[in-house]
Amino acid sequence: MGTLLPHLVTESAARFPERPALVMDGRTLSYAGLESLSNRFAGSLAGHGVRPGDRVALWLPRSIESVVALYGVMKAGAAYVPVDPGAPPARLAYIARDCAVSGLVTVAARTAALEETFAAGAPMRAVWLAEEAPVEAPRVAGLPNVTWAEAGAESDAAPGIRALEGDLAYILYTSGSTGEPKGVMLSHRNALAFVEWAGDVFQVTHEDRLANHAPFHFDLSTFDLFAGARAGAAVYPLSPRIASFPAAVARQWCSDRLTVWYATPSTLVLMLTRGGLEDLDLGALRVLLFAGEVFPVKYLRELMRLAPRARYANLYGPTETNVCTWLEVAKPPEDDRPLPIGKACPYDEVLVLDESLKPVPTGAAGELWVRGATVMRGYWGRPERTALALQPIEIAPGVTDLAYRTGDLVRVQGDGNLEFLGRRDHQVKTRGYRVELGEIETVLHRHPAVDEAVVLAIPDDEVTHRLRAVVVTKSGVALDEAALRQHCAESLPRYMVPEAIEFRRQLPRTSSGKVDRRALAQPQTTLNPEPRSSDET
Amino acid sequence: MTATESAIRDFLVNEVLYDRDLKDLKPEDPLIARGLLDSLSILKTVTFCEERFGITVPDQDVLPDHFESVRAIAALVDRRRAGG
Repeated sequence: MGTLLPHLVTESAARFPERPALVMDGRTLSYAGLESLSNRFAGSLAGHGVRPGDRVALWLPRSIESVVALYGVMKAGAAYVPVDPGAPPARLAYIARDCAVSGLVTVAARTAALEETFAAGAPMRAVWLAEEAPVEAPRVAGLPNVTWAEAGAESDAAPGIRALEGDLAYILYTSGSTGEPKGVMLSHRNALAFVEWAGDVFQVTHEDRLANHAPFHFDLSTFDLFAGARAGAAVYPLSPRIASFPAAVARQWCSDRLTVWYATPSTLVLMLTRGGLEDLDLGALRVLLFAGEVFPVKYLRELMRLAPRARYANLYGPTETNVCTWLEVAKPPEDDRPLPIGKACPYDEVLVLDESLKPVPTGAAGELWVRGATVMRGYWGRPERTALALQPIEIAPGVTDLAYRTGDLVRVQGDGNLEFLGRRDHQVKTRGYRVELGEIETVLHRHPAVDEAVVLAIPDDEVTHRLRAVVVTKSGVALDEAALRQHCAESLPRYMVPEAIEFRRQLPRTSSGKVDRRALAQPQTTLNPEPRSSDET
Repeated sequence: MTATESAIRDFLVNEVLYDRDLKDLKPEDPLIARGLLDSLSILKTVTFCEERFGITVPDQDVLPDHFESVRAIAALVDRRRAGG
């Protein structure tokens, strides 16, 4: 077994050169093809000055080329930094500067939007256009554009770069409570600990066909891509054209006879409630994995009824630890109690601690800490944040290790499974994405007319939470709601933009003077309601 | 622009798309190819069409072909109004 993620492709290319590695939109790339193209891409990166230890941003819709680029970056000894393809240019620019990327991989249609963003200079040395058709694109900050044909003209010999399993493989930026996203640094070894375990326990083989639904900035994708490559299986990246249409996704996966699905409960629930799964043939489905949020049990039961022969598992873990606990759901749950998050995966250890960092007894609530092979190396460029998140914990007398503080409150049940109770802060999930409400509030505060802003997460059966903002303006007069949402969309990814914004003259306060979020979440206690600025008829 | 197209266009521009550059969105402009619609915005658009035009849109009609552009959504609405 290889010690770096791209070796998984190299080894499968040796064993199964002609088998499909990637299948998308009617195109297939074999393992031999993926190995050769990613070697060429690595050569192109190196030729333009990308060095081992560098970072390269990926900001493009999902495609076969985007996966080639991802492996190419790692083969060049660099870490890939996937940026939400739906994020605005300002967020890409923030991330690109934060971790000083030396390359950017995108598509021609997106470069025009970057001219202004990077007018004052860009950290990268070149911009790679990862698309087959030859295209003309404006230059970003005077940098050279490298076309797919130019990158493909490099030698297909392995780049011969020696890297270590502790080196960074990728950096995933997550929402930050102080208003700035933070980069979670993960090594090859971090990823492989999970990938090797998951590949074995779910028995992924070269005969499997894996769905890839999660975008690359979301760590669910590490299972699809890397457990697939390790087995020599076919990975089916979901076409961006159909990704937002549950009925289209359901038909595609069933007609492609995909055997392994890994997605968020939001995705699966929408496929169930609006995707017509009932009328489709789920006979090929062998393993169904879900993670990222709580799966409402009534929907899970329904899914298990439609595909009774498949294996089901709830995987849990923040980006900082990838998957750290899991629960196999052997039979449909009988009652509607929330599904536990299970027990630690064999490569990690979970600790349930009280405020003084002492273990709590079974049955008591505490905060979940995680140590072990998948725990991140830290946050890029933020030693203070890293020191708060990774702390030395004495796990036995005289034995101390760094553990990651999840912020999740849990309880150990009598059977040893962990029960998820909630958060100790204002982090929420929406459509499986992790969102710090404080980051959205910071962006709202940046608007010159906003005096106070609070963002609420309203529980929702299908997508876990919907986001609603309550805003007090300096003038006391409501703003144009659409314009304020646009203001948010200029620096936040779409899933973080509040769906509705309510304007009030003042916010309810608790006796200690803090904003009373609980009162705000209840519409009947509305104070001084301001008429909505919409033209509802 | 037909009345249906105009109502759908205004809804998208004001409630869904959040982008200043789209103030002059045309009925034939691509929505999906430009990555403008996520699953929640599609659900909101379907609900809007159902309430505004008094139709029902079956789940199996919520497919990319029918959401390609404002014009495509309007054609779906008009077909549903005609009972098709």
